[in-house]
Amino acid sequence: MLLVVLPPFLRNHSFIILWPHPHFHMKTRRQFIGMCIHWLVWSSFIWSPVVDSANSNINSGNDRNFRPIKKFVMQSYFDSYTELRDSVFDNFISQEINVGSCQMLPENHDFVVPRLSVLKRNLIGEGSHRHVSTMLKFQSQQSESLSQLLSSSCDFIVIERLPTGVFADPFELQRLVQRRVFNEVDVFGDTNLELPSFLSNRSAVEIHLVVDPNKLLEPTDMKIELPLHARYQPLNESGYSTVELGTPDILLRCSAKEKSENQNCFFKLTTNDADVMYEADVIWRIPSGKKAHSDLVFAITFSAALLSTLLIVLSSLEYSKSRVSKDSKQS
Amino acid sequence: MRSLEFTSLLLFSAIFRVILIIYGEWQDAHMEVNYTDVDYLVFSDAASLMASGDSPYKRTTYRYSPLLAFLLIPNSLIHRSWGKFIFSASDLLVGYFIHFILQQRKVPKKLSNYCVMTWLFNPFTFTIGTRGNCEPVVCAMILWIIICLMKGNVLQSAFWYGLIVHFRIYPIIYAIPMVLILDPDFFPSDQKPILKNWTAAQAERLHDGNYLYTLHNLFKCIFTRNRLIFGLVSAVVFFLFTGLSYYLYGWEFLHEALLYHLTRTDPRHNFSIYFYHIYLHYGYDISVMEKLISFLPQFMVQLVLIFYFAKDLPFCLFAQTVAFVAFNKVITAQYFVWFFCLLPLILPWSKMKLKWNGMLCILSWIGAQIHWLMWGYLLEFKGKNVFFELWVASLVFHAANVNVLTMVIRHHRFSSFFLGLKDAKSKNVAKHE
Repeated sequence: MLLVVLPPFLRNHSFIILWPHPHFHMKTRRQFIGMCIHWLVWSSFIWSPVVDSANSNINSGNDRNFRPIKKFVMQSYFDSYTELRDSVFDNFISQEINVGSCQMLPENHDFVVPRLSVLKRNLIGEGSHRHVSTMLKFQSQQSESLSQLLSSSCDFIVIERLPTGVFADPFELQRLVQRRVFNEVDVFGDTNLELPSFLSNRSAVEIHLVVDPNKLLEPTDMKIELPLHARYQPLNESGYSTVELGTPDILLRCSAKEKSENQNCFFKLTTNDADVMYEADVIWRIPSGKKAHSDLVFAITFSAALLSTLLIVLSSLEYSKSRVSKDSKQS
Repeated sequence: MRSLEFTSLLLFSAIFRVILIIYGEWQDAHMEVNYTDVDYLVFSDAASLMASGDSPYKRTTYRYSPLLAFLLIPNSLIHRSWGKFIFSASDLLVGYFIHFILQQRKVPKKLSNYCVMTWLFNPFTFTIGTRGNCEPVVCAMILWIIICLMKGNVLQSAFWYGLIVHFRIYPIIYAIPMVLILDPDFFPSDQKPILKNWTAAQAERLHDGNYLYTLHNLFKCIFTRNRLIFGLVSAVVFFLFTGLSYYLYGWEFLHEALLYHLTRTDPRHNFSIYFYHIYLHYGYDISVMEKLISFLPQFMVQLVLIFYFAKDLPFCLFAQTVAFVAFNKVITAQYFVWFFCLLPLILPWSKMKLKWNGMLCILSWIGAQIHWLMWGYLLEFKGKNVFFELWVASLVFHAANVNVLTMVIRHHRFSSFFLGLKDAKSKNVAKHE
């Protein structure tokens, strides 16, 4: 049973058990409080100043007991920033993902990042629930560095930055992971499924796909279909709101077999703008309410409510009157 | 012999529901569209969170009492369909309760069986339990409260009433008729109330000013022993469960499970006539005047129905529920079960024949729904702007609901639920003569 303990002062004396122990019941308050005191004492050892100084020691020594190193790039982004903004994000990517700082490759490596020769984007489906499909063609050049990298485990990271008008359902995406369509996927940012777009913030979807190292040497096709849903749009005179999807960021991440923070290498796959093809518009027209209807709808809705109230009241009245008259006839 | 008929009905329904649950599992695994309701996945996730000692409200869109998550904890321990079996079992329990109530009121067996079939074989009801919706549990509790009142068990009915208002807020609308029915005339001290049985006769003998008498009684002796017990016990039970949940899960519980339902304004399209108005004004401040106007029709209709029909308890509850759903700001299909469970209780007293008034009611109601669903399909799955037409369709559906309610009222044979003391005595006198 793996126990993940977060410092008590951050979690109001609660703790998370990753797998429920079948015999463990928090039967009494006393048991629970006893547990808390136990973990308080235990965790105070971890956070004592002696261990604080050497950060890397904490990470390596207590890896099993603390959160694992960040799986998701977007998690790091949202740790530093609260909102998704394009300029900030581009900056973040270029800073954090530095090809030069890859420690797995020697100083004078001859590695050339695989280039995307084709990137096709398409919006499939009709209505409020559609799929955005991305078709990639890429090929790497054979080099020594490449073979070195291939001995590590690599995966593709596709970051789809969504506008406020659409959202991805995290639960639906988890089901896709279960069906092994993606290796891992998560949604970051505003994940509220119910609010309309003018009350929501942007979100981003990060998809991880397994890379078969041998495939990198030949021209490879990859197709990714991401299910998206439309939010309720702000009112628009024409009756439709347009939402435009941008191009995704595609990264290649390789990490050495022994999982350690310093051994992650990121490469950004780029393509010339001329090569990006759009089969059909990735412009999504979503129906939205018309402000012109506002007054009419208000008037008729409340008149209808009033009218039906009157009808019900009258029929109840009439019914009781007919009963009374019937009885007075009988008696 | 006849009770064997009911038992076989129940058995058949049970087997049918088990088959549906198994089919549901198959469809979930093999087809794009799920059989299981999204809500069921929400409950299961919340239950597994609770099983690991976490708050079930960490699961977004979980908006129920923690009791529901608690009920579904075996989902993660035994099998993920545990909840569906529980809900279908409650579904069957409702059928049994309906049969019991009708039998107690001496409804002829054939008629009683037909009425039970309107619940057990209603497509709405068997899909709702097998898809994993928790409404059958609520319906079972409501019927059990009625049975407790029938047996004169005021304490127990108060306990379950407090619990169900904690579980699902809407039964609060039943508070007044239930307090009214605890009239000392019906519930003389330390005596069981006497049920008024079904008769084939047309009308019943009345006192002068039937309902005014009840109201007058209410004001004169609002603090009778039974009414006090009911009021206090249900309030204590409600605050106990709510308080416990607040203690365990804090502000999140209060916000998600209680306040959300009281202030819910969902701009997304649903059957309610108010949805388009809410969408068009979403994000703008709603004036107090507007809030009042939207609350007034609901309030008035509830009061009027209670005033006229409180003595005939099952009918009053049915009419109130239909009106409540029709005038609510948000209407989803699962709300219909709330009055479907009460419908069999009033059918034996309805003068409406299936041909053609009954058929007209059913067909117009279903037709209005299908009409709405068609526009909803165009909006959501074809992406056409049909908001205006969809709103008109919701007005039509509202009209169909009101039509059904007024038709049912007009064709109802008023029958007081209990016999008053005077009636009982005169009945005895009539028997001896």
